[in-house]
Amino acid sequence: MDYLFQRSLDDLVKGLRSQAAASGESRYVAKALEEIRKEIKATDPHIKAAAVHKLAYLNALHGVDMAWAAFQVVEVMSMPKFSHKKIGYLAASQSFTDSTDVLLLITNLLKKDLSSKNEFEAGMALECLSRIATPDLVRDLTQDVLTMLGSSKLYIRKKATLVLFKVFSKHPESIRVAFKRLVEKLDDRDSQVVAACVSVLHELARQDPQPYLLLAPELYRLLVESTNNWLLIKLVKLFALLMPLEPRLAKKIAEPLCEQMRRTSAKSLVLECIRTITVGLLDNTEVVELAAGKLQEILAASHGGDGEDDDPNLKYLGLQAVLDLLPVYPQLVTQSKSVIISCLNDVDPSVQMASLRLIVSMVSDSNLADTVQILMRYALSAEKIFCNELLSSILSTCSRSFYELVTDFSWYVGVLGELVRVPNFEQGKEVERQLVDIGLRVESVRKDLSRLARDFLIDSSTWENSHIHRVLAAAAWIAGEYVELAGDLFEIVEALLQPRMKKLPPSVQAVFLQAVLKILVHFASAAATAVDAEVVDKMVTLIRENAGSLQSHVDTEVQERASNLFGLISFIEDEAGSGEMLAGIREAFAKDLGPVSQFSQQRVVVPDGLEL
Amino acid sequence: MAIRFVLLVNKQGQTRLAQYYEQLTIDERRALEGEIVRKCLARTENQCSFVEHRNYKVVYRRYASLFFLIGVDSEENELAILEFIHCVVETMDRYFGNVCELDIMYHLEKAHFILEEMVMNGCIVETNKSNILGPIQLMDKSF
Repeated sequence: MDYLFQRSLDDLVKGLRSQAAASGESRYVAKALEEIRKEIKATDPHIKAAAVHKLAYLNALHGVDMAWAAFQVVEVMSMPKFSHKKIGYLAASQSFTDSTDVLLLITNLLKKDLSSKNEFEAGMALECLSRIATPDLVRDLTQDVLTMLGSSKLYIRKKATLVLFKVFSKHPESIRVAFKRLVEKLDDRDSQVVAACVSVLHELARQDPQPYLLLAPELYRLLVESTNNWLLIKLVKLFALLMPLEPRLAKKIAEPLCEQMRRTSAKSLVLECIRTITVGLLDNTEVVELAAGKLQEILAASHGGDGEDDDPNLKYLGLQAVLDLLPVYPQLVTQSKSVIISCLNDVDPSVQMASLRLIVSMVSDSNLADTVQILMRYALSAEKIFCNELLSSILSTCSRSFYELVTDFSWYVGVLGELVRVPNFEQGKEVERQLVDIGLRVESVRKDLSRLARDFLIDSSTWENSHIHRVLAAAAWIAGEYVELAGDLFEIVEALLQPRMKKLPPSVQAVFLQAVLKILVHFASAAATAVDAEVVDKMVTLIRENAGSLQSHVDTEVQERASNLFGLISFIEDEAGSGEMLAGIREAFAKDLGPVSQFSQQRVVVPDGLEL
Repeated sequence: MAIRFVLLVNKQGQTRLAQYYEQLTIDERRALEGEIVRKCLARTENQCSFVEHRNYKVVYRRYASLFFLIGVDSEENELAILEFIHCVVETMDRYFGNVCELDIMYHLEKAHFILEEMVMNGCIVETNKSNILGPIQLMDKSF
């Protein structure tokens, strides 16, 4: 009588759907769970089965834990009626893990069902075994599975073949016994079983391809004869795994691979063949040419011309494949250049990134300028994330191996200047590093750098973007360090001390102050005429006015540098003896700083008597 | 395992079917579903159907109000999986007769059975609709 009032799964679903809010739903689920707990203890098979059914549903879709019901699930699995059994098996497949303790109970149950005359029961047991197999279960049931390989029913043979994979992975010793039986299935009269066998072989070969090499002749025959695309794809993948082990194999399958590529209309198969070619056949020019030709067709097909009929999937996969073939067939990129470049502003970020990666890998010193120009153009119109990807790839490509690719540094300094002005610019730290680095290494370009620095400092409209601040620090440093090359020093000091600088981060302000110091030293010690002396006075007044407050700044570094600056000023004003001192300081600053090699520390001789 | 999981999700991100071919705890599953579903649902029509997530790929396609998502290893052939999704949809269509989200909700176990016939051990086993539906229809008739 009880089960007339039991909610069936249908009712449960209806009830869940009628709950509008998520809180209502979780309350409903909790209530249903309570009911299930009561119902599941019932002896009536209907009630128990329905309860497990509902529980499995909740477990799958609402994350309700059902490990506590494992024993009841086993009970349902052992019920005579097929529809109940099926529910039990489904619940078991979903929720049993290696640590479920009731697994010990089901060995005999599975044995019975595996040998059942009803093929669906047996198939169901096989399916469940494939999901929940543990080493113990597998060891006990291997023999049963092997017997089923010889069953007259296709349905059973197919599933048994597939379960063998699980058997082998959980119980590796069984491979010795069962391998021969598995291989026999390659010759099975039914293509479905053959396909199942190839699947299993492929999965096994992924872990260790060596033992499957001797099956190559069989697989070759299948590659040539089969017309089933799914099977062909698996075979091609399998050969990709086997090829590295046996060079002669590559030559043999080159011809069938080409045949398949020419014949088929399935792009998935073509792409799979191309992937296999990149693994083992890159030295076979004929094959590579055919692959490149097919790939070009794909890329062309993926572009509908006006962007309307574009196939984004083909675009993405095509670009990846071109990257793979690049080492042997760089012509492919030049042939499809316009397509690849237009992908830079595609709507799909994955396609954009694939295209960028491709372009970056094609860079050489002859096409660097063009490439950078193209990337810059797209960066101006790209949205934030991709824009910065473009900029950072420009920066990293050009600075690769100590700027190996850059031949004209003053051009590159110009590029850096443009880069900074791109809206959405965020690469402050890297640009700072590169500006200083180039200044240290490339003497001839220091004048350009000084000019660039001056532009940055004077044009304060760019200061809004907080990422620029590190660049400003670099600019100030350059201005101070290469002070002989700077133009109008007064202008620069004015720029360095403008009121806006007080809004910059303290670390940047500190660099600014140091630069002012260097400039002042340089200027004051070189002041020969009375006109110059006037300018020095004006500078000093300017410094007094703008930087005075910085002496009591919160940040210690800023405070210290400001005090140094004012110390110097009072020194300059006290005429006597200042000339020599200034000359001394100026000389100290005049020494060129250069990059330090990594090994310099090792070259320093350890003085006698010093224990490190 | 080539295929790691199969998910059916509606436009609001609610899971309608979840089949996993590897062992994951309930919390891991929910976390995974949350992340991936958000990524896929945010994409537009013009973007490709492949999303890279951690160390595997997700191939997805939208049919009316349902998203079919299949998580695969990185070496898997994406176009073949896309074809497979289409196969699953056509099979379910034939079985339920113009399948819709409600069919899946009320007959979840039938959907599971269909999927079980098509994928085993994470490998695609059967793509021929008659071969898949034959056993299931026989089962329905006798029991």
